[in-house]
Amino acid sequence: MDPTVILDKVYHDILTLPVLWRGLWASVLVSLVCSTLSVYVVLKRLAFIGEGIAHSALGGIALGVLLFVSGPMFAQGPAAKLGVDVTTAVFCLIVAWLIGWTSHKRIISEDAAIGIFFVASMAFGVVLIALRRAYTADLFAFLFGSVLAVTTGDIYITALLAGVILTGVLLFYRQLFLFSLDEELASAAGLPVRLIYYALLSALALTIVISMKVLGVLLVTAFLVIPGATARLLTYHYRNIFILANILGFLAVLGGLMLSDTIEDLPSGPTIVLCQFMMFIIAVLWSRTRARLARGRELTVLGSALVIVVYMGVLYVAASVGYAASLSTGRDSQPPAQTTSMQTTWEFFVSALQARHFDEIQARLEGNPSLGQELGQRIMQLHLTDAEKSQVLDAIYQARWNQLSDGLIQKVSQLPEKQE
Amino acid sequence: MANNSQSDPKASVGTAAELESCDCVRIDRCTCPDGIVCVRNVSFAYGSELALEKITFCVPRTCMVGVIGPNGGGKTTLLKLILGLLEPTSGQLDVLGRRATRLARLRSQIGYVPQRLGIDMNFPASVKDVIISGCYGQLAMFQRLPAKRKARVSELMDLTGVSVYADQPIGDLSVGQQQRVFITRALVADPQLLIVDEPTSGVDIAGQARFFELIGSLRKEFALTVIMVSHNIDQLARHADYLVCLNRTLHWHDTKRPLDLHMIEEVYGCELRAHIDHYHTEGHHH
Repeated sequence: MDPTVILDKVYHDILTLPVLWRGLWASVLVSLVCSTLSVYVVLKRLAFIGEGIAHSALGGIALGVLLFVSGPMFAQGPAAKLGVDVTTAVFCLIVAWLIGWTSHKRIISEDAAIGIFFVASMAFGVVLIALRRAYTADLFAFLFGSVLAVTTGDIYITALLAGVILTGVLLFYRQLFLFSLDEELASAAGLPVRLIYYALLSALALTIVISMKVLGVLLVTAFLVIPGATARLLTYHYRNIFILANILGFLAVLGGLMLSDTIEDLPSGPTIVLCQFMMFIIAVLWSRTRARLARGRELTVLGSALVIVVYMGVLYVAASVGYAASLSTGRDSQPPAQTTSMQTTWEFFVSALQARHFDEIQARLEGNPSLGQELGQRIMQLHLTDAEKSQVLDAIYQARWNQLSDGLIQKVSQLPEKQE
Repeated sequence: MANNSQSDPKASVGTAAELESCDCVRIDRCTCPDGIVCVRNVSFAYGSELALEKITFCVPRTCMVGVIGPNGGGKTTLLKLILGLLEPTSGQLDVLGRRATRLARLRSQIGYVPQRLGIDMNFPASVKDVIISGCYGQLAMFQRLPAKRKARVSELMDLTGVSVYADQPIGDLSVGQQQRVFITRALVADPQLLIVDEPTSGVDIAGQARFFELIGSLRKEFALTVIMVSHNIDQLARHADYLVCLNRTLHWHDTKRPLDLHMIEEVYGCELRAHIDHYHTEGHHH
């Protein structure tokens, strides 16, 4: 297959679908922060702590929803979303500090502290969720994330965080070098080692909360480990490891998004992680080969080039096969079987749409972010032009209801019947 | 000096005559006008566990002090106190004329060579990167390494014999080579005081001897004051001006006179004669 066909399609989709465009921006920003931090995660062995913080976010989200969406501090629209995000961030920060504090004070070992705190936070989250059955549907989006659910506001927050963290890393590059080389040397040189450790934990916690939208809790730690680990296999030099981790992270995001756009129903988060994993495996094979054939030599440029070329090759094959397969089954033919709950969701959506009860839809969407995704996926399968799809998705994700023309509403509400 | 009780540091002082004959150390008070490290009556406890009890000694400029003692005797604690990483529970500890915990910029006047254990041998840094990190304390944010420093770094690397490894990753070096790297790193900021923690673990006898020779020559070349913790009593007694023996309390020995084996054995709580006899038969050279 001609690669330009696939690239053209992806390029066209990105330009015409704001959802994808926002997803791309968010993923690239997330990749920038995560890849940079992943170097420290690998060098300071913080992978498990990252995993722990990520999982404990469930408690934070459940608490946030309880407080701001259905509880005492009821808010609407972006305010509710912000409330949930802030609650989650604060919750994760506290868990991160508690893990750091208990292991530093030698109350228990670090791995035990992580195990205890993240399980307890998750249990707390599950208990809260059980109290409010209404938003169990969130769980899937929470676990695996979705590029489609990213809003413009999310991008601004991610950009802000990326700016803060990257500035911090650049400003304190030397201090962080000494800190990751040896904490004893660092404190002998007068560095506030504990402060640096907690700052790193906090950066980790905030990054996880922000990246969770795109990648979900289960996958976000992959982003915080794999780029650094892969780059470490390719270079012995401290500065190069940052550059390489960022390049590889960026390529994984591009590859993952491209694949998930080309192949129908491929979720973006897991695809990106698999792309990273692929690069890691290639780098492992390369480093084994290098150890045997060119002992003691670094060969960074050759190794990195090799990893990237092989990765792109595999990516191309996967995309061609997937694209061909989705063409033959017909991209828009059969919507997947819907559950009854989805059926009623859709019916509700259509009837509210026809009655112009946008605030009703909006209220439902805010109480349940995954609803937006369900609707979004459904809309992507409809016989609409890309511009029309984009308009409807914008309405759902950005609350731009007044953009919808009567004709379009009519079209959307009638289409499902034709298909079934 | 035959009878040393561990609980009372003054018991190890010896006679007044002995004290006066030593121009380096005052066990019971710190009166050296030229003292770089002055430890007065310092005690330190981890929680309720007393690690050091009423330690008093003084390290004059350009002296080399060897610290020996059994594991858990408080050697590393003492170094951490001198480095200002711990604050004494009681007593007073001055380094370079200031409280050790409030050294601020003077900290770059202390070169520290850690016990090798903490460093990840897969760490992605070249030997040169590690050595240059010794200057970080003297550089402003984003300031590039001045040409003068760069020259100094290569000069020192030649002197300690690590320039051949300059671009190799730190993890590829042997233990002995890594020690030289960390010595070089400690010296690039031109310190007055060099603190070396347990440098000989994992190094063979010949390597240990070379290491002590290196310290000896560097010390003369740069007029360094050195405090070194080691289990190699033999080498330490050869090169140090005096030894302090730590086992919660401090016992002191001037290497200008024969080693008081009895005292050291009492501190270690075991027979050491077999290890040190060889040193005795060879006699001293200073």
